[in-house]
Formats: sequence, structure tokens, C-alpha cells
Amino acid sequence: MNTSAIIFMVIAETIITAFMVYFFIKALVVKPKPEPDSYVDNDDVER
Amino acid sequence: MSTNTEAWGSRIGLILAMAGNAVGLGNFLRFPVQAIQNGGGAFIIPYLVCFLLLGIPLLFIEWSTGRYGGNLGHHTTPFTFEKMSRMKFWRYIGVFGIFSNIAIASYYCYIESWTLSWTMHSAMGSFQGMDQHQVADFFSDYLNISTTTTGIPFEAVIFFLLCLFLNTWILSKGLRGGVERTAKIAMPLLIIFAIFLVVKAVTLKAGHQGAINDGVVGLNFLWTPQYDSLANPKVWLAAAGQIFFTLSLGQGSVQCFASYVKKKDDIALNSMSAGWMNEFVEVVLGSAIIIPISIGYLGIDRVIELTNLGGLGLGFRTMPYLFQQWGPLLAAMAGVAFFGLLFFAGITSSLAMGTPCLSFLQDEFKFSRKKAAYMFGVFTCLLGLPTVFFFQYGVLDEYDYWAGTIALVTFAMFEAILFSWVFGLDKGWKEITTGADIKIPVVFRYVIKWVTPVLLLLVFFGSLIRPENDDWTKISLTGWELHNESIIGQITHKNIGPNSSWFSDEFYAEISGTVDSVFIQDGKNRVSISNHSEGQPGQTATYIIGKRDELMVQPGEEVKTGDVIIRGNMINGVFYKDIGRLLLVSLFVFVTVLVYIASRKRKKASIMIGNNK
Repeated sequence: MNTSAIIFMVIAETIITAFMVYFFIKALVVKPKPEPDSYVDNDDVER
Repeated sequence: MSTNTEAWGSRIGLILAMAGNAVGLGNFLRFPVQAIQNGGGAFIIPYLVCFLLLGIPLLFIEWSTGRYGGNLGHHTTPFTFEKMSRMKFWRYIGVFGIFSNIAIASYYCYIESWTLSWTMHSAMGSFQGMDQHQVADFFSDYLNISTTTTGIPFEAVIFFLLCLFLNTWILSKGLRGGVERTAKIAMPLLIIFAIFLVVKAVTLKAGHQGAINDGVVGLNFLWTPQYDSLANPKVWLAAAGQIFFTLSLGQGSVQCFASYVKKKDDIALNSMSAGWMNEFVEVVLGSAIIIPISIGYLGIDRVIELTNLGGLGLGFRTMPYLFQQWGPLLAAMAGVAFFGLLFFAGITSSLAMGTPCLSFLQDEFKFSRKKAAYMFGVFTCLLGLPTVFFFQYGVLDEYDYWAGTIALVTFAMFEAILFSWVFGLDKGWKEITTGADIKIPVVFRYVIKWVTPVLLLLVFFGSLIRPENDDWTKISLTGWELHNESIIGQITHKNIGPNSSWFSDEFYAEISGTVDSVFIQDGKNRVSISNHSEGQPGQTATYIIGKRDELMVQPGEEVKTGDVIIRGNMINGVFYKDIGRLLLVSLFVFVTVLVYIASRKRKKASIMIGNNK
């Protein structure tokens, strides 16, 4: 691959992957809001 | 009271369903082709700029609009828009949020059914031993529904109905039990299948298993930037268009999904998580499958030729043949992985398209979920069958242009204006930030108010008056030649050519060239005209000669565009295209009438409540 193609690919894919991972992990670990919330699976989970 | 008691099961389920809504066939088939045709690696610059200035603001607008409406008991856009503006006019703009979904689902389910069928054929080894032309013909035969190469009569129709039934059945299971559960299974599988194919693609070695190039040659071709393309408005319009399609914006499905989120719950982080997941699938995975594999086996020139026919052709006509080079077992695995991931990408999107229709019927007409789902299935089937039977005449393309392209841009333009200028950005910003689990940079306040509406107006008017050959220097006060794909060009049938009447006694040549041959295929007489000069690619047009028609030319004869080549009783393609348009207009009117009836019912109900008090 030529240098400019590598630079474009690596920068674009790194930025996108980093944002994707950051937001997804944040959504996984953020503390849920007190009940009643929008999600029914956790309705019987004590907080 | 609405019968609608739907709810999301979990936050991750909502994010995956929303990402599944966005991730579609276009992530794997459209994006890489768009990148190649619009500046290679440099395309990522306008693409990411459009994501920041159009995609993310519209995600915020659509999620917050949906949650705002949902908390007032409206899960679809017509009444949400009315509540945001207190003007009846906006209620009917909101009709787009139901209309587009039904219209797109009707033809999208057909394309989705191809992926289901191709997954089955890959597993069965149907493509084994076929050369490139035979695989391409397999696809043409499949679309020509009266013939079949597999022994299943009317296979395309059967798979379409099967796919539609599957969608309807999943939708009838509810938001949590159907849509969310499917997304939780489909999205991880899609990513696993995609990673398997990416690894195979980038590790291709020239000289091994028939490859003529390394896999990285394809990546190099796709990512090498052509900086001069950045000055071309066509590239920016293509990037803006790609952002629309890939994020499923301007459709009404995002608002519908978000309407089931309570006011205090986050939408900012959810929208970013789903949006960036779609970008990951599109840019990181989608760019590294079909282009590296096809360039690995066919070379750059041939792939440029094939991409001019669009991503669908490359995916369905060519990829099964390329997978065969890996041996029977790996070919079957790769075929199942590739068409399986396309199927998962497709079904998560089509389920999202069904949800607004179901929510509307539940909210306004007190339908049960099951009844609403089957009603959606019937509508989609009736509207979709013409795309199946008259695919060859361009009915699917007609649906895709008006419902899948223009309606989305129009709707998004209106909703951005409504949100920022009618509802008011102060209230709008509060809606976006309420319950937010991330801090949104305040710059988006100004982007949402000024930049996004202006860009959408530019995209809309750019599509309206797009000049021929995308040469924007030709724009002048004295007028200019319009592009065939411009809105005005489409309305006036600029691309139809000499056979512009519905019915005719004569059929005219649509290209100039030499009459190549007269032959019989699938039991039908055909005449072929081509204009390939030595060593140069050209066009070939093949026409069917009806049993009672008279052929007016002989093999070897030179013909010009507009010359009579067949005499008889003709029904031209423009007839089928216009029928397609008529069906779309009828659907829009029908949904508008339903919204009107629903508004009358609401008014009566509120008067009765007032009297009882």
C-alpha cells in the first residue's frame, strides 16, 4: 500500500473504532437511572 | 386509550436495535462503491464532515423528537410534529415518517430475500463449478421470475413472501420479544461473519487459489486519496447521501424506536453509541470485503467496470464466483457468511421500517400488535409485488429513487427546520440534554440551528437541479442541461429515451450500434445491439421480440438511437415506472387520509373528555 493510502485508512479507522468502543463501553458501564426507567428487563433488579 | 404498551428490554438491546436499523446492505455494498467513485481515500473527508455536521445533529434531532412524542403518547411523527408546532401543516409533513417506511420496506424485503436465497444456495453448493458468466446468469435468471435454475418454481416470489412473513412474524412478537431479540442475535453474528471475511480478504495472496493480486491491492486502490475530488460538489453530495442512507435518517424509524424511551432516560449516549457502531461496520468492516476480494481475483480495471453497475451487481453476480476459488468448503462458509451478514443487516433494518406502521395502528386505531403486524405485511406485500414482477422494467429503482432517496432528504430537511426554528432550539436543546449520560459539546447547538438546516437545503436543491455530468460550472442564469438523476430530470422522464410513450406500435433503438445477434433465451426471441469498439468498453442492449412482433433489423446492420427495430403492440418500460409512481402517490394519499381520520378521532375523544368533566 502507498503511504497516503495507509495514513488515510489508519487514521479514519482508528478514530471510528476509538469512538465506537468508547461510547459502547460507556453505555455498558454507566449507572442506570432509578426505576421506573425505560427498560423492563431490570424492573425486578434491586439497586 | 392506545393499546400500545411496548417497551424496550434493555439499554444494550435498544442500542443494538438502533444500530441494526442503521446497518444495512448499503454498509457493505454501497459505501465501498461510493468511495471508489468519489475520490478513494479522500472520500472519507467529506464523509466524516457530513457525519459531524449532518449525521450526528440529525441523530440528536430524531432521537429527541421521538422521545418527546413518545412521552406525549405519540410513537410516530405525524402527531409528534403537530405537538411540536401546534400547526396542522406539520402533521402532514409527519406522514413521510410512516409512508417512507412502508414504501422502502416493500422493495427492501425483496432485496433482503435475495440474500436469504443466496445464503441457501451457498450452503447447498449451487454455485460450485460455475464460471463467472454462469454465476451472473444465475442472478439474471432468478430475477426473471418465470424461469428458474434451481427447480423451485417462482423462486424469487417464494423467497420474497417468505422474507416478508418472517419480518411480519418477528414484528408481531413485539418490540422486546421480536425486534430487540433479533438485533441481539443478528448484530454480533453480523460482526463475526464480517471479521471472518475481512481476514480472508486482506490475507489474499497473488498466485494463491487463482488470485492475481494481493488483498491489500484492493485496500490500496480504495484508500488512495484523489485530493482534486474534494473540490467537486458531486463528491460532497454523494457523501451527504451516503450519511443519510447509512444512518437511516429522514425515515421516521429512529423517532419511533426512541419514542419508547422515558423522558428522564438518556438519548445522547445511546444515539452516539448506535451511530458510531454503524460507522465502524461501514468504514472498518464494509470497506475491507468486496473490493479487496474482487480486485484480488479480477483486477482493478474489471472492478471499476463492475462498480459502474452498482454494489448489488458486484455482490450477487460476482462474489459467489470469487468464493468458489477457495475450494468447496471455504466457498460455502464464505458464501453463508457474506450473504448471511447481508441478511442480518437487511432484516434488522426492515424490522425498524415496520415498527412505525405498527405503532401508528396501535396508537390511533387500537390494533393489537399481532393484527397491526399482519396488516403491515399485507400492505408491504401488495406494494412490493410490482417490484418483484416488474423488476426488469425499473419499478424497484423507481421506488428506491422516490421513497428511498428523495423522501428521506425532504423529510430530514423539514424536521431540521421544525426542530430548530419552529419548536425552537432552546426547547430542542433541553430535549437533547435531558437525562444525557454524556456532555454534548455546545458547538452542536449552533450546528443544529444553522449548519444542518442549511446543508439539508443545499442537498435538496442540489438534487433538484443537479446538472448533467455533475458539471456545476455549467449552472447559469440562461439555464443548463439537467442530470438524468436530478429530481426535475426524473419527473420529466429525462432518462427514458426514445420509447417514451406507454403504448406504441414501434420500438426504437435506445443506443446506437451494430445489431449483434438474434437469439433465443428462456424460450423468448431476443435481439442484441452493442457499440463496443475494439479494446474499449461500450454498451449492450438486449430486447425481447414478442411472438406477434416483427423484427425490422438484421444481424450486422448499423442502427442509430431512435431507429425502429421492432414493430408490434408494445408496452414500454415507462408504463411500469409510472405505475410504480402512481402506487407510491396512492400510498402517500392513503396514509394522509388515515392520519386525517385519526386526528378526527382524537378531536372527538378530547371533546368527550371535556364534556364528561
